[in-house]
Amino acid sequence: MTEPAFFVLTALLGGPLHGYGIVGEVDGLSEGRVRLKIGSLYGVLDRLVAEGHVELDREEPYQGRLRRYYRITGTGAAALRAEAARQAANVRAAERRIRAYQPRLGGTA
Amino acid sequence: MSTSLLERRYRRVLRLLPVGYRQQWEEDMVASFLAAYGSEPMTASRPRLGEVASVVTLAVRARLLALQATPRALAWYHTVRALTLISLLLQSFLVTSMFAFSFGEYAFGVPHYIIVSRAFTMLFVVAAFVALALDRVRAARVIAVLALVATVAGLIAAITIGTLNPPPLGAAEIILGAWIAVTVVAVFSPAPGLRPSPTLWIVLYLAGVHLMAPVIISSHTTLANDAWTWMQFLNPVVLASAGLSVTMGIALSRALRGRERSPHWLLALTPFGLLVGAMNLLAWPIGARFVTIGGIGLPMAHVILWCVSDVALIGLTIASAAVSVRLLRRLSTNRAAIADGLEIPGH
Repeated sequence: MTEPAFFVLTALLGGPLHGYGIVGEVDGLSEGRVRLKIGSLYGVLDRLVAEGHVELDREEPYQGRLRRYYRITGTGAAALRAEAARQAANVRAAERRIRAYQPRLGGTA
Repeated sequence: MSTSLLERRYRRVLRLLPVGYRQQWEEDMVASFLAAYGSEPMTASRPRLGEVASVVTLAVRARLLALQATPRALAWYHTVRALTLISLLLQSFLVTSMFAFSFGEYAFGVPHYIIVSRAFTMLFVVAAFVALALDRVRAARVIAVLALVATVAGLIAAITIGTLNPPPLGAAEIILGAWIAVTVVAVFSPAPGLRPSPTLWIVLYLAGVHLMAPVIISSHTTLANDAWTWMQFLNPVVLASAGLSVTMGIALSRALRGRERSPHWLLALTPFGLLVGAMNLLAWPIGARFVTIGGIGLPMAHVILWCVSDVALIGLTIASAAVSVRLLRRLSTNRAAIADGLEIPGH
């Protein structure tokens, strides 16, 4: 799962969001590291919808336009859980090594 | 609601996306884009470079995936596959017949290496055909290129010693070989759901060899007039015409009974029907000359049967084209998976 897809699914766990709402939520969740452009967002949404991880929740009129709200599906939540577990396992493995790591001082002998 | 200059320009950028993609996403993309600009639509006149770049990237990716993404695009993809398989089948007939033909030439002192080169060409072409029929695409790619090289080398050798006989078959071999090599290398990918029954193709090939090889060999042997006449009647074009008519008839019947939703077989057969029908049509005056002048003597019944079968083939070709266009129009340009996912549950 790509980083933008991971954050989009995470953003939708909080409830249905429209396109620009997702952009803002991802920005906040990633602390500004992942700033989705609109083209990138819809590339991600397109894949997630095709995979059945995201679906349309409702359409609402807003300033003369219809705004689509998207929500995460059961399979989307399961995929996100699996991805989070995988990343957490990676982090634990890296942290164990980091704790055990002692840099050699004074260069090579 | 009036559209701002910014919106119009953004929509112009979105035109880079495939039509099906835009139908699904354009309005929502515009709404999100304008929301991202906040109050800027009143002042900003152009989308930022980053936004344009993201749409361009999305368009490239969507178009690259489009071959397998929309039902209509998929039907065209299947059509190219079917065209290649039929071309390879014809090529197999052709090279096997040419190999049989070279035995006749051998009696007239044609060098061994010409026969050996034709044997290699036949081996590679038939191997490529079998590999594709069995969906061994990677092997087929290598063999199809080898077959083209062998075809060109064999024909150059034949031209050099002046035994290229008959020339139109040589030209057809090269054109077919090049088309096959390009499509097998560039278009084919393993797709187990699409391949026809390998048995069908192998039976068709064997049937073709058995029907055509005697025809070619017969042109180098002395036969009684009656036998010669029959062999002329069973020339490759007539055989191709009969084979095409039967195949088109089956494909049309399946399409009309709703058993085949994709028009790829009909679309692929149509150009061959046109080609063979036209070749037969051009041959009508020759048949008529045999009858009127007497000459070697094609019986009138043969000529009439020939003309009737050609009219049937042309009729079937026109019907195939019409039905395939109708089926093609029914196929959506939208991606089914996406469309399903974008229906609001319960609505």
